[in-house]
Amino acid sequence: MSESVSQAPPLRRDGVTTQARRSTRVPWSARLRQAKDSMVAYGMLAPAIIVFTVFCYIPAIFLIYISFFHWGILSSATTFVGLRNFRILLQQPLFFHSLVTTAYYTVVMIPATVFLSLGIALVLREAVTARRGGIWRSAVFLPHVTPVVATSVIWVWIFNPQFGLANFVLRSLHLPALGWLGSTTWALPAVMIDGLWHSLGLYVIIFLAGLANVPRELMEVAQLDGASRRRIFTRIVWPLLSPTTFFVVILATVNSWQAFSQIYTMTGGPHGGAGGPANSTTTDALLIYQTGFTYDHFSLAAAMSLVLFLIILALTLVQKLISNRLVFYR
Amino acid sequence: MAAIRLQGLLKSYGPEVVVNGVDLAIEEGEFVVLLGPSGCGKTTILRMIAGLEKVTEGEIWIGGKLMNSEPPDRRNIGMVFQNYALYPHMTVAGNLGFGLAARRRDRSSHGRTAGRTARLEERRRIQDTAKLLEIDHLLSRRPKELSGGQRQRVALGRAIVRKPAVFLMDEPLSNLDANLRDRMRLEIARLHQKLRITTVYVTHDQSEALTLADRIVVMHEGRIHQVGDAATVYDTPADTFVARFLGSPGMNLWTLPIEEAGDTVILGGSLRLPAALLPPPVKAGEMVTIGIRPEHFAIVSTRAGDPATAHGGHADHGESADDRCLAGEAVLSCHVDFLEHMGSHLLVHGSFGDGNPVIARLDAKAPVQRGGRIELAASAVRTHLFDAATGDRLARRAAGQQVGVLT
Repeated sequence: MSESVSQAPPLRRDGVTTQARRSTRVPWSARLRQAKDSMVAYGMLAPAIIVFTVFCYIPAIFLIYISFFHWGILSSATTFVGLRNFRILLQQPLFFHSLVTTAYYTVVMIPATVFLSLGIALVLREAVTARRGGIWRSAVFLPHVTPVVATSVIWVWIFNPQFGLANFVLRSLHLPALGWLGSTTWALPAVMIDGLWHSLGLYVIIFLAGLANVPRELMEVAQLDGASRRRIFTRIVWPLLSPTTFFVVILATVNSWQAFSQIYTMTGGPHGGAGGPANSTTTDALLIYQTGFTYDHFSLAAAMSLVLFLIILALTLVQKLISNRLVFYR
Repeated sequence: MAAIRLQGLLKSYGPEVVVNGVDLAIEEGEFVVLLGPSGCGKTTILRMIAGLEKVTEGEIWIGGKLMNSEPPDRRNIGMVFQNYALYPHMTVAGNLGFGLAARRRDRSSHGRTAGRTARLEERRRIQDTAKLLEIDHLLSRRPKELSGGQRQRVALGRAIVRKPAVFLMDEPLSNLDANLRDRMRLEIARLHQKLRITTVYVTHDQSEALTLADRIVVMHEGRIHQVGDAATVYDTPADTFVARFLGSPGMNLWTLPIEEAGDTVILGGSLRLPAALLPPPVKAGEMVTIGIRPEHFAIVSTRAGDPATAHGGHADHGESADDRCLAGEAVLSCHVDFLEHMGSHLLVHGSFGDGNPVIARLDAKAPVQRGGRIELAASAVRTHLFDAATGDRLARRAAGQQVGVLT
């Protein structure tokens, strides 16, 4: 090692050996061509870079900026207030309430999403091999491509306490009817059901893709090895699906913490009163929207968004740490 | 160890029949190779024996038990797949032990100590199997950290660690490079000799079949064409399919009308056979299929009527084609279209009559030139006759002696 160092040509101050500099001298024409090539590359990247900058990065940076200021959409005066917005936040019981509501929403939604979509995917995989299996796949995916705002109106009807489908089903099963969107206990579960119905298709497709990557031979070998169906699933399929599951969990977490549209439309919408009854469905995304656009406290809403961002970031990092031990990448 | 019997086995997917009435009895400890081109139904048969594919019709007996409706795990079968199908998330030891553990779970309801002894026994068996296959230093590795040959060994080990009654292999060597394939082939032969487990081996590679098999089952389009040991299927192919499929290159086959029928029979203008070879009555105009393997030809002369240095056992100067024919040889004069030098030998691609192709495998130093004519001869006992209509083998008339030739 030391020998090779002593034999190396002397380093110049800029870290390039004189020898290297001499051998890498490039003629102008070649340099011009290189520059042209990178121009073309940047040109190709430009649309994506511009769109992301204008619609993602600039708003995100601006959001951080205004969370430290007193800023109004119509007022021209911008005053630096330091951490005052965050201090105000911490004094708001509704803010903590919204965090708890969102956490509840997330804690229920993640397992429900993972197990329901995996279950449907497992059934569908069998169906796909049958004739017209594709129809079932499309049917499951269809809710995901319908606009939330429109379907949420239908769900409001389904959850109508008097003549809604939900209570009709409960009554026909001899179960007590529920108040659903009118009840502080059942409004959030009603919203969850809508959210689940809407997003499930996407996760089913992701799981189907994951399952397609589990070779059939592995299951056949396991079968010959004498493993039961349950054992094949728990010891072969589930471990091999872990990257997919991890992806779905991350996606479901982010979507849960950002849940907004179906809550907004189902619990009041533009007529006001969204997040009710008695704030029982006020998730933090909804609270941010109301703080900003209903009550005009944009700086405060920005501060909330920043907190929400940090929470999601922390959760994702924790999941990533856990996944290193639980997820098997081939 | 167990004998396998397939009776009237049939498999169809809708209207498409993949396996069409297969009858086969495999004895205990026998090594049987199912050989055929891809799509001939050999893998489907293997999967039906394993229970991975439902039987449409017919019966599968293993060890004297009807297995048609038994699930795969009840058939006591070890199987090696073409792509190894190792559990990628388990170590080599985990791969070997998975089946043992699964079976232990099944039996369960033993006491704790019984469970522990079972686990110890499993560990011992994994060790023994690993040692047998020389993979005991790899037990803690994952499949992706192994080379192709090592993976193949693990796949073999996983199949034998449970001591199955029957061993099924589906083209196990086709993913290996040529060198490794030869080594693993030997390994499999050695393993079979040691364990003597009834083995059904599927391949489209005839060299694997010829070297490994106690008996070869040649299949085509869902049917068995011939069952026999390597020498039988090679020396006396049951029909034109087997004749063409085995050997590389396969047998020369010509379906031609008899032009002249005397003591020697002439076909295609320049193929002469001793009349005694053909089943009587030999009449002009009758169609007959003749087969001669490329490696059974010997060169007689490089130009018709002009004797050259002869090669092979048939060297004989100045003899006319008719004389040779009467002495019990098939003689053929053909045009040399092109040559392939294969190092150890020379492949001559020629033609005679109305463009009937001939391939002859000659000594690398044979004096043959492109564009010239050569006269080839093959012993009558190595000349095969087939029914021109059905392609089935025709019994030769009393073969050798009568024609004056010995094997």
